[in-house]
Amino acid sequence: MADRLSPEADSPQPPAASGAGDLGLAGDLSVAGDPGLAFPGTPVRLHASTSRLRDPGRCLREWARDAAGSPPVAWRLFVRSLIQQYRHSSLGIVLAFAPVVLTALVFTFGRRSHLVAGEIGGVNSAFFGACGMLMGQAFLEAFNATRRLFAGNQALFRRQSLPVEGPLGAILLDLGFRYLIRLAVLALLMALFAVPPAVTLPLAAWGLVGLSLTGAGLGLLVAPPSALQQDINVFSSALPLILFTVTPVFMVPEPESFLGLVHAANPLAWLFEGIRAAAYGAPGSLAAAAIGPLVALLIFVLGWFLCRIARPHVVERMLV
Amino acid sequence: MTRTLLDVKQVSKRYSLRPQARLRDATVDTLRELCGLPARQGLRDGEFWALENVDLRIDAGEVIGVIGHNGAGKSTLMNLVSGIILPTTGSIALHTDKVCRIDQGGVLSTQETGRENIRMQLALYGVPVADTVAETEAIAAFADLHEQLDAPVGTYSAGMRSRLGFAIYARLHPDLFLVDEGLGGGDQRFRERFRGFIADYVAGGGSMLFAMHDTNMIQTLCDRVLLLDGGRPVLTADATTAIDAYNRLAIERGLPPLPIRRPNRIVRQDQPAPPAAPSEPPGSIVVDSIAVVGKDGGQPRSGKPAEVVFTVRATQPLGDVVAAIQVSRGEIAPLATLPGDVVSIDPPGVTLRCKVRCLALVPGEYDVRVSLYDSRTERCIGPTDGSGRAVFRVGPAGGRRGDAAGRGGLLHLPAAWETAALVDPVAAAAAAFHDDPYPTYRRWLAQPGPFFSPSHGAWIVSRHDQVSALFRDPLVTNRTVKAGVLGDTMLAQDPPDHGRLRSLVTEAFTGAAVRALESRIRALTDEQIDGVAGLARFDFMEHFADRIPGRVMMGLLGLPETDLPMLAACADMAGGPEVSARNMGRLSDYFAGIIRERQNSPGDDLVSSLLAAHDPGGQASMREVLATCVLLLLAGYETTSSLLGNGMLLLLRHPDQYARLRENPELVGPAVEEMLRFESPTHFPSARAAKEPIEIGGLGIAAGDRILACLGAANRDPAVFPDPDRFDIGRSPNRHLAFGLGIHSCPGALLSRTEARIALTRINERLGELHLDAADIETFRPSWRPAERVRGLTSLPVRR
Repeated sequence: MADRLSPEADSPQPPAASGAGDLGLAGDLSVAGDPGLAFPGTPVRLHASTSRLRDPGRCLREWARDAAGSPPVAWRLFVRSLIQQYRHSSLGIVLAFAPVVLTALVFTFGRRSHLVAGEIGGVNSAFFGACGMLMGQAFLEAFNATRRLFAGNQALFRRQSLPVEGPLGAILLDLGFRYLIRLAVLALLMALFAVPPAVTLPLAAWGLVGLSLTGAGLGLLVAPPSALQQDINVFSSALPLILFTVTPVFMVPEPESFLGLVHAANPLAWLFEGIRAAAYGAPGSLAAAAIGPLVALLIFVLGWFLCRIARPHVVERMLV
Repeated sequence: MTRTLLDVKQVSKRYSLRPQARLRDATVDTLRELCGLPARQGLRDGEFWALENVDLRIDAGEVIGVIGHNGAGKSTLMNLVSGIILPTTGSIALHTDKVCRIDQGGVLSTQETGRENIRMQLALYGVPVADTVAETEAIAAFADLHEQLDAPVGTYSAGMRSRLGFAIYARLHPDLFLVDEGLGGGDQRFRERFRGFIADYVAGGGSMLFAMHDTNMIQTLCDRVLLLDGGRPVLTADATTAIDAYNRLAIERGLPPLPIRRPNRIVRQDQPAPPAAPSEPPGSIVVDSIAVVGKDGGQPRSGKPAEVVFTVRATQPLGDVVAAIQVSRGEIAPLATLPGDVVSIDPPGVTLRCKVRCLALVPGEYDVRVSLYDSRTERCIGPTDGSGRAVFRVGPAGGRRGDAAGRGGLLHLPAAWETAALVDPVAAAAAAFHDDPYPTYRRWLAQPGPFFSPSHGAWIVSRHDQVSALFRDPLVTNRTVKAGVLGDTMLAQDPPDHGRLRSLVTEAFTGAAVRALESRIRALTDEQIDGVAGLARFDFMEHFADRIPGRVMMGLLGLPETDLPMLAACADMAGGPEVSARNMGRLSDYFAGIIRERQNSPGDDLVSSLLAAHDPGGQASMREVLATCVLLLLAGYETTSSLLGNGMLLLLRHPDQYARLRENPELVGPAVEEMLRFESPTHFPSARAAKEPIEIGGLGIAAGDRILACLGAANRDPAVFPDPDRFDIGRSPNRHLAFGLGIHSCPGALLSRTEARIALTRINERLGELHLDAADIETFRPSWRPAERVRGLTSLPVRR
């Protein structure tokens, strides 16, 4: 009989004697579910100095497998994020729509004091401002969340070969959660200010998805440098100011003015106007609300792809 | 057919030591990959090979060890195999996705509860959400976490955290475990349990890549061992050969070798006998009649000769057999191993006798277990019936030494006692460190990362790049001082409070403000020079180094110069905690009086400016104004005084550099920088603490752990300063950290430099060459202040 070192009654059982309660790792499922990666001689994972894009098939299969295996991690990271946001906050979920409410209040007082026009874009200016804040918040939150993909999860990335899909999935869940809150807030605002919804209201909800995706995609594109260079953070703190200037968040500039020309050239402004048009029939292109999200999806996938490729290179520098 | 799990081919990994190049390097690597190009070859400035041309293959059921000194590349190899980073050359093929890495740092989140952490870890290893509920309970039970399961992990002890991490790993059954130094923390029982788990995993056919300094485990578990040195593979061999080679390298470098014990390889359940040494089935082997007796045949006694006698009964002849005796006590198994010589046993058997010259066991009850091994195959061949175990009791030593004094601990170590002279080695070492800390710092710098100092209760970080990173790390807090007036200073604050308090004083130390003070500093220096005009001998500290910074600060704060001696005495923080607390109280009382005075009649001084910033809605509370005043005095006086004194001592001890400065007065700027680097006034700035788990130099530091940066060592880091122990007033570049870095860098650095520059220039111009007033410069022992935190002189006798 083989001699064992330090046998103890409470030692865990070896794999060969594992009981029904024992766990197998994810590879059980993923390898079995992907015969292209499992036949003898072909590695399941290959970490090489050559570019992963030299074998596009493998690259895409690994991408698909990481995406398929990410939901449990994404869910746990999402729960962790919720805990971090709300466990130690008395205001809790109120913070998610507080800026919108505050904007509406400021505009309302502004109107009563005749500091703000009564109507902007054909609707109550308070409603216009609150809607703008809601959309601006959607964009900015998505941008900042994905921008911190590496920096915000560096403790995990530095210890485990964690595909970006896990943290990214958590961010998307968080954004989805906020998106639902936003839809509810939008409905409340329309009821409160007696703004009748247009029949194209579902298109506005779709456009709002596009706005978040645009922010998330742009955030992903700057996530790698943002993890390694503090300057990006400085730029990000100024971003709301830039955004509120170059998009119709709080105002509609004269078409011939300089700002009007900037808005006309800014695809993000088209999306803002498109969402407003779809929601309550404001002037704007419905096509922007319909097509914008598709373009945003493309930006998002590009950002996602960039982060997949950049992950080991960024993590390596985070180790130093 | 053997299934290969891991195939490492010609893998090299290049790292850069330059943090400022990391964005560029990451961008270039990403772009190259996007363009389908391989990683860039060769080394640029500041880069080195952390790993070079490593080949490694692990088949199913194989355990491969990796050993090497710190910095050999073990963790880099683990990171590469884990897929955390990519190789610069070569490839790593993993033929399984079921890979789990165990390392010391762990990835437990201190903010989350134990339950949430378990679920997170299970998710990271791909366990479906539906299975996690049941598994969480099982893991919690295994880790002995009950009520604590729903408490944040930050409230757990280190042992509880280790238990939790271990319990999670114990529920995962990967094809390949990557073990990087195992699990830290936990008591002896926990460590034994971890070892038992690993041993069982291997015995069950598990595979492992194993980097650890525990030679017992390496020799017990590993089929082969890869020895790395400076990133290069030296050899791949059996454990004993590899450890022997490691030890030869260690001896060459003056490092402690690893212990080697007689091979006692664990045998796996599925392991076939090696074909090279076929042996007959051993038949029945029984070990009985085990007795542990003292010299007189009675009860064995601590520290006395003893014998282990046992009988081996065999049904077939056994050639080349080694008997080994293991002694255990409670959960510590084995406590000791007594390997025997190679013997042959013919039926019906033999009686073997193992004589122990000194039984190194304290009184108590012990288990003894006898095993027999085939010396050729190293396989355990007996006993075949579960026999070979016995219990014995060790009695007290008796005699004049007294039994009561020898009952504690585990082992009775035979000791020859001597009555030695009254030399306290700890005090002697402390005195040696105090006189010259740099040999110690050189040893610290030779280490790749920080280390924990029990005497400081903190991690010591000494390397320049790591100190720089620490100072800039947003996950590190300065809020380590909570009580007393220092707890209200900007030193003990994080943003945004830190910025708010710092902004109170920055105006006083801008370039323009300091330029406005230059004529005043020059006049003060001239006054001090006039004061020694008639003296052939004087104390440089008393007349210059202490006076000039003191008078400048008194002027800046609008305090009467007659108070300077009292304040200087209070500013000396070298008298131990009680004296420091008393001095701090006196300073607080003093400034409280000054503040009351300035409230009634504001003046054109810094205290009045600080008060102007204080109002009900203002920037600072009254406590913070008081704390800022105390800090300004302490920081502005003590450090510049040390800079001047240390700088003059350096010039006196390096006559060539002194002459060079006198001949080239324009070198005073770089000279001051070199003085700051070579003999930094502050060696240990205020302690930091990790807000979240962080990593420094590849070492995980838990949230809440205190961290001390050693500026004295960082400023002698050979990786940044060529020939760091040479005092060169023309050194350029000179990126020293004497004034810190990041948001907590010294706001008065410019003033301090200006004072030193003007004072040295004027002293050189008006007093000419000074000499050390000592019989022998070589043997002159400077009188350093009795404080570890700062390095400054109490006196410096000079003559003209």
